[in-house]
Amino acid sequence: MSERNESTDRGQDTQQLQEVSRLAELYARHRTAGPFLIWSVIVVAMVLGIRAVIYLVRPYVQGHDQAIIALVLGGMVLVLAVTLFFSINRLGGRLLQRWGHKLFDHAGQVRQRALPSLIPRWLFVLAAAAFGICLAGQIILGVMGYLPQKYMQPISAVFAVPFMIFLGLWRRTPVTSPVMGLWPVLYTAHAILVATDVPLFRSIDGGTHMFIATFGYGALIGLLAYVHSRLTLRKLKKLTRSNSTKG
Amino acid sequence: MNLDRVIHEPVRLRIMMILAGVASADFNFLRNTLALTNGNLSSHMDRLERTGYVAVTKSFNGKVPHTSYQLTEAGQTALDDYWAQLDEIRNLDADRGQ
Repeated sequence: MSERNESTDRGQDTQQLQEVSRLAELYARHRTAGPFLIWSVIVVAMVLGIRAVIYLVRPYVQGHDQAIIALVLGGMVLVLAVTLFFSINRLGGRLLQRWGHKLFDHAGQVRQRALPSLIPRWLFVLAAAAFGICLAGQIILGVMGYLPQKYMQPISAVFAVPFMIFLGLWRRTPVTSPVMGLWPVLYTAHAILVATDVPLFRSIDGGTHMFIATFGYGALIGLLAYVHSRLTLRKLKKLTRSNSTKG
Repeated sequence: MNLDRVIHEPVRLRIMMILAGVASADFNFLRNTLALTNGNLSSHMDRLERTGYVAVTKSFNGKVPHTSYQLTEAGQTALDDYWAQLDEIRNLDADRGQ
């Protein structure tokens, strides 16, 4: 083999080896979606379960609407309580982390590098406060009947999507899965489809649109990140094992 | 030009490249990813730790011992120097080829 071919081969080996670090980093980032996936799936499963129960129970309580209303309200309170438990409560957060790690336990543990946030903390706090105010305003105006129920999701997109973007910029520490960047894109696309009265979306009520855009797409993105992490790990293993005998 | 023999060994180079991309990785992850036996990986990690390129943290997950590794600053510098030396060698080869 000529010296030039040997040099080219060494160059390719070097490039492949340097790819190892990039794949390891990417895999570690995708793993951060684990707890988020678990949380989304819990909420989606609960809401679908409650809807299924209502659907099954409805024929037996026809005419006794108060029973249905009580069931629906009870279900909503349960979903809210579980969501708050996992979102705010420290124990809930730890449980999510533990269950999220179990998704990847078979591969061993790896922690992603912490990188500095792209925005200062005060800016994120300001964005979070603005989001909270807008959300509260939308709920109040919606209950009072000033906002059309049908367009609740597109209206929420006006303040929710910028907040998701701020959240992504802030949460670069620790670095999250790049797939999470799809969430504001899907949320916006959904809002446009609802606002432009696309036939497929017309029959769906405003509450369901909100549910799909938040928890539905959240679960989908969590799942995408998980699948991506498995593919990335497979590539990493192929790369690190195939050249293990070369010096 | 003497390449760092600790890093130049193929398995240890791959270990260091993985650790260079993450904050830390545990024993199981390195073993599963590199398809090594426990003994083989342990001996490589011992060598890297003795050289100061890798820091070890031992803890327990419940009753199960857990060992994780991270690349030290010295390890990162040594790795950067290693790649720089390889680039020099490649450039020399290319010049000779011309």
